[in-house]
Amino acid sequence: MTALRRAHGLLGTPGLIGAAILTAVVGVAVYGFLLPEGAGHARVGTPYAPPGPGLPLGADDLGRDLFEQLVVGAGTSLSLGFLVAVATTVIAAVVGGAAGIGPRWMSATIMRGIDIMLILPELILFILAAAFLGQAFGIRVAILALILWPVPARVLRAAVLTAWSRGHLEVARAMGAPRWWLLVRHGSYLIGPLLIPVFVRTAMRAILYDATLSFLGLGDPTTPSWGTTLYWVQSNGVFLSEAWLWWALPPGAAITLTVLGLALIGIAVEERLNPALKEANSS
Amino acid sequence: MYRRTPRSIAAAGLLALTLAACGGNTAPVQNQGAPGQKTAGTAASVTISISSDESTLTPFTNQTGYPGDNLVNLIFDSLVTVQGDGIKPLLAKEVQTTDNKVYTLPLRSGVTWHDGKPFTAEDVLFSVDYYREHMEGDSAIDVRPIEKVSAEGDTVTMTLKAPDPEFPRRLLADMAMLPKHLWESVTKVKEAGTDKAVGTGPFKLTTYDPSRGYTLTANAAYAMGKPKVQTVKVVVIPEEATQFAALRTGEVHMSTRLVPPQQLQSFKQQPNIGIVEGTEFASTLLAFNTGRAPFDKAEVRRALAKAIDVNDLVKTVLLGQGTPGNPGFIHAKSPIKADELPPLFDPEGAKRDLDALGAAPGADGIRVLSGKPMSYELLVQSSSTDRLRAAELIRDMLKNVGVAVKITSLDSDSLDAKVWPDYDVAQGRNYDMSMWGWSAPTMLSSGMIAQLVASDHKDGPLNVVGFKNDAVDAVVKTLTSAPTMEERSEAAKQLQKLLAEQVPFLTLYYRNGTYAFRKDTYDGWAWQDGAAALNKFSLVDMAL
Repeated sequence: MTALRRAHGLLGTPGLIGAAILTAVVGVAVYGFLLPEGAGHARVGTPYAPPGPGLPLGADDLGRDLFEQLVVGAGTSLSLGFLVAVATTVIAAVVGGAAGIGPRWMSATIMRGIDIMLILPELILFILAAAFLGQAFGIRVAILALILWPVPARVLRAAVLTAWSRGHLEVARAMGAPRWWLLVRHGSYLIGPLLIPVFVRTAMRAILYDATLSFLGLGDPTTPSWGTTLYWVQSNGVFLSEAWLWWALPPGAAITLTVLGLALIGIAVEERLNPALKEANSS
Repeated sequence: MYRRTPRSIAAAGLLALTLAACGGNTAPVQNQGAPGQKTAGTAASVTISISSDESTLTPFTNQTGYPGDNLVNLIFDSLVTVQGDGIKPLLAKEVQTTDNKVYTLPLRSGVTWHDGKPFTAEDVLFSVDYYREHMEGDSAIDVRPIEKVSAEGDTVTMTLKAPDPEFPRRLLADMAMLPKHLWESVTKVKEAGTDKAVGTGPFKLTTYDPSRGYTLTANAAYAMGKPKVQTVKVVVIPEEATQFAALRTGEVHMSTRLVPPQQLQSFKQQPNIGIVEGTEFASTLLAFNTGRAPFDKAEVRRALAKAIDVNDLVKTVLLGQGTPGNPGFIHAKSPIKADELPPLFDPEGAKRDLDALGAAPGADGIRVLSGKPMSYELLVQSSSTDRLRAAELIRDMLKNVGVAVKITSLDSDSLDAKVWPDYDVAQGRNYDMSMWGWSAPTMLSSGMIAQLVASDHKDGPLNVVGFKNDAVDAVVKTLTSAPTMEERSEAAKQLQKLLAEQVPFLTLYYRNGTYAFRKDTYDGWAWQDGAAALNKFSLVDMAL
């Protein structure tokens, strides 16, 4: 109970709900990884078969198990979200940190660079880059990581600057402490927790963008993923038949739930860890 | 939208549309809705949807064989046209020849260009010379067989280098006449603007906006018939699903895309929607890059082809709405008589053949041929749902025999850039395998088929697989130069047999020709083999 209470203290009720949803999705994804190779690819039923024994969600236009595609898709979406979030957080921490403690010219250059990146519409940039560079999993991860870092980098730079002006750091600096030591010894305590909401929110956006790309048919339409399933829903005119219930709704709901779970966690963690929000809430 | 095609025979296609009464190949329009629905034989305005921009709609600038050529043929006329199975005179009053070598073509009088200037024999002479000088782009018309062209009054005489019984169908029906007074100043044909889209045809191009589409207006002075529709609006809607949604709502009155098999039933049940059906000659292929190892070996290509069950593709991907591909490429109903060749599918044979080539399975089950794992990339057009699905099934089928396939889906422009850069086969190609297809006109004359496999770039402008084989080249020569139809038919049979043996590409299937339209707005759509429903006969009361 103590652990739960501690978690509740950290996340609050919404955050806990988010964590529960995410845990469930991760569980499904893990189950998906345990399925034999070819799950979701094999033709096991008749095309357009409705749900029945052995086919909980029916079959798609090639007679492939839609439930398996949903499960395998969970793995694709979550691993993409996770990888993009790791990469983005690292980039944002390095760039944001450098902009925060680096010399003025470096800070200015980085910040103006970020400003330019922020003007560009992320989704459109992603679609264009994927069209030119290809839709392989690794390439999509790389593109998303390179597109999504500017906002978190800005947030982290602000955090670094705030931390830098704390009294005890100023004192330490006056006594001649080197910057890197200050950052590791004192700054990390203040900035580290901020990486959690950055991570969670990036994962959320990555999953959503990737599903969008696949839905538009610009991803890899031959690999099972939630967005891909929705793409075929659209191409096959499923919305015009009763099959939307078992074909379109599950992946749509899965995307919504996953993003909702991540959003709840992100908001909860941020509220408790972001110094600005914390002070605003307690005053 | 599928693959560009030689403009060649597209014109021919036009032809025939003609009323169900004439011509063995024309099929009546089938009205599938409930009886008593309002239908319309004429209309003030009809909106049709196409999938991509077709540039300025001159014979040199349209971007696709279908529906690009079909639109150009509403604006331009050729000397003759194909109707049903036969040839009908159009700008020429008749076609006279005694030896299939010298063709005498008296021209119709009283024909004017859209700008009011009269159409004369001068324009015909100019057009032939112009095509000769501008044999560029994928839609180039090859007028090299014409040795000499001359005019006496209103009669044009064309003398060929060698007798060619298919000349009217293959060339005359395909060659849009150009107005000399407008085109003699054009040096870069690819840049010809809408001001050059002036023909003698039943419709005038009145507006063009690359982002919105075209407006074609009936030519009241049309000499060969009376347009039944006053205004044809052409809108560009790239996505298949959006096009058919627009058709359902009545925003669009005819879609130039084939109805997806899974939507056919629901269209047939919807009141006010009609379906026009006919034999579709457009083909879907699996192209091998025969210039790249190991696809340079016929044994390898044949073994892969044996692993692919084309019947299953038709049954599963097309829900039965199609015909399995003939190993010899030719559609059974094509005017070039198809040879009934046995299907290639034989997965056990494929395994034996691969074993015989020394390609033993490696640790992961993938065979290793000459030290390299048999793992290849298959390109597919991301906008084509049937090809995507077919590619997935092909991947599974090849995996069964120990060959790995990685599918790469690309938008069609990027794919073209790899398979057919600049629509010029002389520029080479960069792919292993690709989903491909040719539009219907390739199926209409034996000369066209030769273009798919002839190794010479001028004779084989559609040889996107880079195929080179002496035996095939020899047959192609006979096919295109034999003086009689009998000899050509015989050569066509030989060529099909060679194609089935050599498998430069595997013919997967021909989709059924099924197009949907709003019959409450206009129901005059008529089928013409090779041109489907978008043709002169659908929109004009032709008086030939």
